[in-house]
Amino acid sequence: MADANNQPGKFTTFVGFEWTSSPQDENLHRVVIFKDTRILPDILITAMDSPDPEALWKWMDEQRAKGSTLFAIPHNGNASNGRMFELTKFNGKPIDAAYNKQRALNEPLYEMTQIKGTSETWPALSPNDEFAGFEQWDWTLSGLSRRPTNHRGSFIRQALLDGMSQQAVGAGNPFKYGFMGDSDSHNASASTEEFNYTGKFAFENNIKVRMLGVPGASPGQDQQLRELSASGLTGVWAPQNTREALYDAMQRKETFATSGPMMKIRFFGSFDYAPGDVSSPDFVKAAYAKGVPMGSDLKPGTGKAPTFLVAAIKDPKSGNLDRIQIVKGWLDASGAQHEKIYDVAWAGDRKIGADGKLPAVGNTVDVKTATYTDAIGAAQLATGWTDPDFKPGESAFYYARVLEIPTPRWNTYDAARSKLPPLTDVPATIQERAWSSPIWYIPN
Amino acid sequence: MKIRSLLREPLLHFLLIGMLLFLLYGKVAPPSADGNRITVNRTVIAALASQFQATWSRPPTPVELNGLVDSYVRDEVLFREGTALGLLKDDPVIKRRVRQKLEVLIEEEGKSATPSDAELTAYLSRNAAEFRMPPVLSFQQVLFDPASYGDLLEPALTASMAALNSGATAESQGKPSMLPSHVEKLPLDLVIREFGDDFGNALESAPVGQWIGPIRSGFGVHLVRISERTPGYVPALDEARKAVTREWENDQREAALANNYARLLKEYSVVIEGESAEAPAQ
Repeated sequence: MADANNQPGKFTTFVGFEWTSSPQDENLHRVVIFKDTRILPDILITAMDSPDPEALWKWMDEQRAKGSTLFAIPHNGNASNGRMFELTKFNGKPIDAAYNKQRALNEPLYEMTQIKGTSETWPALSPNDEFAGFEQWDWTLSGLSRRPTNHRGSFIRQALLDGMSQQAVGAGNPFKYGFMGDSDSHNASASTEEFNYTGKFAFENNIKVRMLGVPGASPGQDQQLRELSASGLTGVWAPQNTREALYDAMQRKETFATSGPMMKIRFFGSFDYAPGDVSSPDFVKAAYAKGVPMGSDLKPGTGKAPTFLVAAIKDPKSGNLDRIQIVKGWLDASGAQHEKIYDVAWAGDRKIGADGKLPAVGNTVDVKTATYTDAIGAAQLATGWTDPDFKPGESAFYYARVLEIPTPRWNTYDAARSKLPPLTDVPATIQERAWSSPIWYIPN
Repeated sequence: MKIRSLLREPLLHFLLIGMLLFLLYGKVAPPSADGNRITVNRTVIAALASQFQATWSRPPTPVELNGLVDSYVRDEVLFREGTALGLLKDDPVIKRRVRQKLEVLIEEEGKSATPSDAELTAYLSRNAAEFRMPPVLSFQQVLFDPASYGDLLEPALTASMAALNSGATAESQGKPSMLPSHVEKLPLDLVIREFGDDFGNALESAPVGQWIGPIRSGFGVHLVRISERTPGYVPALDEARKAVTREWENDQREAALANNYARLLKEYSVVIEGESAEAPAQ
């Protein structure tokens, strides 16, 4: 079926399967993707064979030995109750160099946004990130609507820091993940936008079910459905739309995630860029020549600070862009973890305030009619940014985050279309966003 | 053959006596233990071992094989006991599974040999709209994002239009953008995906070979010069063979299911006692 529908250049298909380990309803799911259909296993490993991710990786290593090319993408860590990126193995022992190596080999990408929420970070883990708390879907997979009690270990930003800490003690980095997003909807629809949202399950296709709840369901279950998120998508920078080119680009992490809209983001890093390079007409070509794209390690430097070139363009069917931020995480000389968010490009003539924050872009959404205007924001943003706090001895990661202006959340479109009262227990508007894969700096 | 002569037939006597003996044995024989016997024969064990080997790329250890056999026996015992208690009845999961298995058999049965070109051509022309190729466009464009021009948008458009008409390149106009200034042979559906509906629809009918605009898109406004536009068309079979064969096969599969179900449904009298429900279509 995958081969029959594969149209190189237009619609590329992959063969894959989902491994659905969820001990105590804590989500450890992985999607396994094969590069081609040349050599495929006769039988797949399932979570019933073993719920331990190490068993999956061992099985994958065996398939590789038999000639298959494949990787696994873990997803939905926010529903893992702290287990997706825990620093212990499945059997409770501390992770070690062998574990870290096997995990990194089998898992180049992490799916950080989907219909069951976004697992970039969590407000208590990133108290200085005013845009944390985005579409979190703070639940486990339990049918009894149980919320997680642990958040550390569920989110990718903390995992990127923990991965660097592992590397710093010589155990290698188990969490060197590029970013991607997908819907994880279970109704065969590929709609990830607020304006075309059809829910996760088939029964939510009915707008009344989305607005009023499922007949016979508990209040907690209805709340879980209302918090579902019209997200996400993966962007892949590949020379061609073919299986081989797309797979290779995903393997080298030249990917970005979005919360649904088809916005695009470029992100490059180098010690040899000038910030103004981003304004030259064909900056991408020069950026590749003198530096590295998203998903890579910076090439060794001479001690001066690296410069990052970042450019983003909106989805023509979605809202304008508000700003581009660079999220930096680093280990100081004592090994302590830090993170900081820099606003680097923004629409309009706003100024960064005394508190170091850029004022909000505004909000044009008319909730009653579920409409907005592009009178604020910009169609595209670009800048070159040199890290003002760089220290050559400190390992660091950098990724770019692009925010849209506020637009209606799916429940606002639903309320306007169905003439039902708007939902009051979920946000009426949303700032859609895109995240580039990180670029890492590893001191010599 | 008359009834009387039939009654004299020795074969009939033989069969009747045989049947009587069979019924009698059923009444007097001790109850058989076979109904409660579970045989795990060599074939079953080999199948369990090879399933394990296929998953783990090694044979099971004796302990693991014992575990597989134990699990097989457990399945059998509980399945039989559950069946005896009537647990198969009205279980929607089991019904769905059995229905699915039967439908797969029907679909396989309904698969005919490779379709002839005549069949595929007829299918293609019956469903021409589905296989229609979109127009293909090559064009240059310059984007003007109103947010970065403000009141200067109109003068900028006028000045750029004049420059482009006197031979300036698209790259030299407007501000740097991630949008390509040259687009080569892009099908209209992808133009719409990249630039939005308004822009794509405008280019479908705009004049070719001259700078036109401003044309609106989700990004702002554009000056555009279409260099080539090949019209949409219905492809010949050879060009669309893969897609036509795929859709034809899908059609066959759906028809086999529908026909088979219609035939089976005729064997049943369906009574629906609800108020609003309707009987299934025959």
